[in-house]
Amino acid sequence: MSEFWAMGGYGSYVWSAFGLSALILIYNLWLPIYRHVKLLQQWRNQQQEEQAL
Amino acid sequence: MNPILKWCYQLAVPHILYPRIQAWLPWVALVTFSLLALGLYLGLAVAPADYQQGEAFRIIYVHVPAAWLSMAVYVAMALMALSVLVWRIQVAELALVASAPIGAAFTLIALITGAIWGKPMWGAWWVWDARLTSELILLFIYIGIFVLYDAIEDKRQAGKAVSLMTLVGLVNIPIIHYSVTWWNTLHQPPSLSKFDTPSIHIDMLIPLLIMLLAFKLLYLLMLMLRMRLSLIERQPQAAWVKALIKPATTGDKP
Repeated sequence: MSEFWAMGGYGSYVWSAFGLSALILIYNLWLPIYRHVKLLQQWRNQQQEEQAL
Repeated sequence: MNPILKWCYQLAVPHILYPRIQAWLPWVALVTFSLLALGLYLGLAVAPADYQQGEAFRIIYVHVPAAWLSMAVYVAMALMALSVLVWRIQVAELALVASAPIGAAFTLIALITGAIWGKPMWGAWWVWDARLTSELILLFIYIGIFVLYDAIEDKRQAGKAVSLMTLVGLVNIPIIHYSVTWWNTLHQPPSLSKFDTPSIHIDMLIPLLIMLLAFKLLYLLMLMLRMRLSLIERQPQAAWVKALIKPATTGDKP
């Protein structure tokens, strides 16, 4: 198993390449989901405030 | 009308497109992540090491799909730009603007993984050769497109401006693609070509093709997520958007 992580001495190169790529991809998936949820939440709160008045 | 054609035409209608994206999202996500898991397993654990590059060659499984998508996304955007300018399709404009940051992300991944791969193989993180420089210019074009769209207040004008900019920037794509044959560069020529049998072993090729497909689906998934957001952001006053926020306040519908 440790042989797998060592990648024949290239471990730091291989894993940093895959790790940084994963970070960029995850951020790009997360951002529009987060903003979608926030926007709907904000509109719902506004509506509730208007109804309360 | 032909039902398939009708289905395609309906993609341009925001209040039909939005629920369709919602319905398709989990399935696209499921297939994408399954393929990614399979491709990573085969590429990192099963494929044999390269006889020259050893285990370092495995960076190919993220570098090549990302680089390929960085160009494919741009070509897709050029088609969207044409639909905006010729047929005035508003949804195409949203798709164009949503694609720019995704294309930038793939370009950034291609550049970063290329640098990390270049260090042990070429002895340098970066060289100013034709392939690397034209790919860096692609990153600046992508960034320019979404910055320009944000900077112009009138969104109809902004849509036209970024469509034009996208079409002008298209000249860079063949330059990137042929840079390795037109100029002397450190970058190796493509291992996969339509006209030749692949110069890569089948056990190395299959994971690469799976990762390529997975990255295409990742683009689709990210595009759907960004479109879902921009569709409601664009028309907050539309009746179908108002209907989306109603159920939580009245509580009579799920």
